[in-house]
Amino acid sequence: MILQRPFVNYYAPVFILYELSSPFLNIHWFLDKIEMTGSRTQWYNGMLLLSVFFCCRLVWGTWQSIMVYLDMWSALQQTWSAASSPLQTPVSVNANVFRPDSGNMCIDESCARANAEIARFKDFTATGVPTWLVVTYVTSNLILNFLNYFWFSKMVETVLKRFRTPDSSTGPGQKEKDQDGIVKEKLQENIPQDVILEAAAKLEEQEGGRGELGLTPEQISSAIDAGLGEELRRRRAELVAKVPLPGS
Amino acid sequence: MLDPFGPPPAWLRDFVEPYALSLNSPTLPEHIHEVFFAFAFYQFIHSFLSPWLSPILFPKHYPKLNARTRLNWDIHVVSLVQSVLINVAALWIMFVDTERGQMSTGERVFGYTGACGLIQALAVGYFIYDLIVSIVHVNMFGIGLLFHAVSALWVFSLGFVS
Repeated sequence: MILQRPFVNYYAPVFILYELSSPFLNIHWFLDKIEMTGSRTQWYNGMLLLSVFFCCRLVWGTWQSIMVYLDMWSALQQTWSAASSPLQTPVSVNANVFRPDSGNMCIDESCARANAEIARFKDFTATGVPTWLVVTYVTSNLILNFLNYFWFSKMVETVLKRFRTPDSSTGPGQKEKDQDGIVKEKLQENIPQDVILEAAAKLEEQEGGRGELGLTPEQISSAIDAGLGEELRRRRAELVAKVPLPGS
Repeated sequence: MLDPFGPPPAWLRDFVEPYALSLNSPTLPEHIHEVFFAFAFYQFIHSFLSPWLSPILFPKHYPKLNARTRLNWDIHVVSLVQSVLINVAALWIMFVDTERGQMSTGERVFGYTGACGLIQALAVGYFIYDLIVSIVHVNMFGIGLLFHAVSALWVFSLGFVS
């Protein structure tokens, strides 16, 4: 059997950077647990979460996904042209892949070893890349990118909804927060702060507290909790809208 | 860039190699020690470091958490440590790995550097930890989290195994 690896080893650190938003999601979770829900710290952290999420998952992620698709496409073309060679034995793709001069500029031994290492497993990749592997990779990548856009759209939706419907946090909801004695200045600047926090909570609910892909039962139960909270807020907002309050 | 973690002990490498080759995974023997190390490190944080340090840092909150939330807390501590660690490692390697930086189109697909293999190993080690937590606490978290852990391990192992 002819072996196939390595495969897009270059991109391992590239796509790991999707994790850049995870520390902020974890911090958001911890702040909830140490009774700092709605605090200024959580607000700043929430803003960092949203901007890092946007930069690393949407901008960087989309750009690098296109790069890896282009690289794999060119590798597939090399594979197919090697396979359709009229020779009896399939042609190796290595002559086109690895540059023979790499390492020539080195002045020390570890540099030469590091350069030689690039082609170290070339015997395993000589037949090119199997189409099924590219298809599997692209499918996983598309699902992950789709989820990133989906989660981000959920956060944007949460923010927009906040500006369309009456702000319920000036109603009875605000009292609860004041009883905790957390942030008094919320009354003045509560809209941007609440919006960021709700968006962060939305991501936590969607993405799972640990910032990884996929749905977990824990997440579902927390989504139910969040959903209940949302339902209560909605009812309060409706009530506030129906009953004209003094000064409103 | 050569693997900054260093090569595995020869006996471990020789022991793993036949299995790795039968899984189409010739780079795995070079990083198997890092997978084990990462797994042990994350499990240590979960089982010892977080239960010891968290009540010291948060004496008002951690001891009052119920069993489920406390478990979740420990899991989040591991997740926080691993996400910071792997991001720093990945950014560092992207800046200092000159061989990686000079790769051509074909080399980006078929080439290899030990430093990039280290990143994969750290991720796989974490997802093995994640898988084991999901199996051990399947009654608490349900089958969905188990499924999630299996798929995450699969996706992050693509470079090694598939």
